[in-house]
Amino acid sequence: MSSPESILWAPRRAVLPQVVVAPASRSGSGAPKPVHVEDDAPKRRAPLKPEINVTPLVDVVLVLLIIFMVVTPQMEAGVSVKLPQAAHAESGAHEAKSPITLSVTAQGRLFLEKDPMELEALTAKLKAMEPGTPLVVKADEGAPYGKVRTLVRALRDAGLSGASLQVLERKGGG
Amino acid sequence: MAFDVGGGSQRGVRPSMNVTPLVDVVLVLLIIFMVMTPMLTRQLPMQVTPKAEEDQAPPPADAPPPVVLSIGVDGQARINGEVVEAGQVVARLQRALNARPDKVVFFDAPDEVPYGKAIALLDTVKGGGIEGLSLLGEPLD
Repeated sequence: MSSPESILWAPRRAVLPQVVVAPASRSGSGAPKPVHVEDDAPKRRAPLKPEINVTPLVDVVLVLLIIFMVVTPQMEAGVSVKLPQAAHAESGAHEAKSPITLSVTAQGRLFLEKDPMELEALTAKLKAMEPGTPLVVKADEGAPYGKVRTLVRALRDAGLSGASLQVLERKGGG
Repeated sequence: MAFDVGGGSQRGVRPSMNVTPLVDVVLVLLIIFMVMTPMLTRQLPMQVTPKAEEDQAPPPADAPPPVVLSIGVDGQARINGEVVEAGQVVARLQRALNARPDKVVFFDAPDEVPYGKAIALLDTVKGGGIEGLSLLGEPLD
């Protein structure tokens, strides 16, 4: 990719003289006869031009791009909820261990990652968790706070000391 | 870098497309998407108030009361049950915390308050520089 221009234009320069030559030979014979450009061309230009066929590359890259664009919104952990917005939230990307996501939907249903759970089962699962596992709580902004509190109580009963509430960053700092 | 779009090598000028800028842009977009995906999430770290121990000694009678922030059904913030104007919350909390050795604000809200409103209040408090926020597991009286 150091000098793409030279690679692009090199074949054209090699061919161009033939455009000038070809009509002359045609007018002499009177009938248009095929000009064998391919036979002559290699003799005129430098022996072999290295060229990369980028079509497969573009193909693969475009497909990857489309896959990423489609999958990105679905890749979020836990279930899909309408997160509340906050202006003073911290970036959650610095966690070394991948966090466990607990979700509360607008109807107040609890989810551990993507599995719906009753409160008792969830508490048991949380108790079985090794200490120090980062926890992320994703609650719908319309979820009643009482449901979030039951989740907080489950965390407390499981002996866990903290959790991060996931939010969307509010634009404009407000 | 070019690829042939027409087979017309016998016609003289060959139409060809320079795909280098295209590949450039697409690769950059791809990298942006790959890098941005994990960075989109934002979080408010919270503590969970531990359960009171059975044999724990009750605090001395003259100790300052714990700072409990809550939000009413009407959406108004309350500190230890007293209604506080939205603009005053941070200043009042800081004053209350100065009297206490632990810098912890406990938070709770009634069952029917939407979570979004609770987050808005917690966000305001967080924005005021109060880091020790602890969620209560039991509803307030």
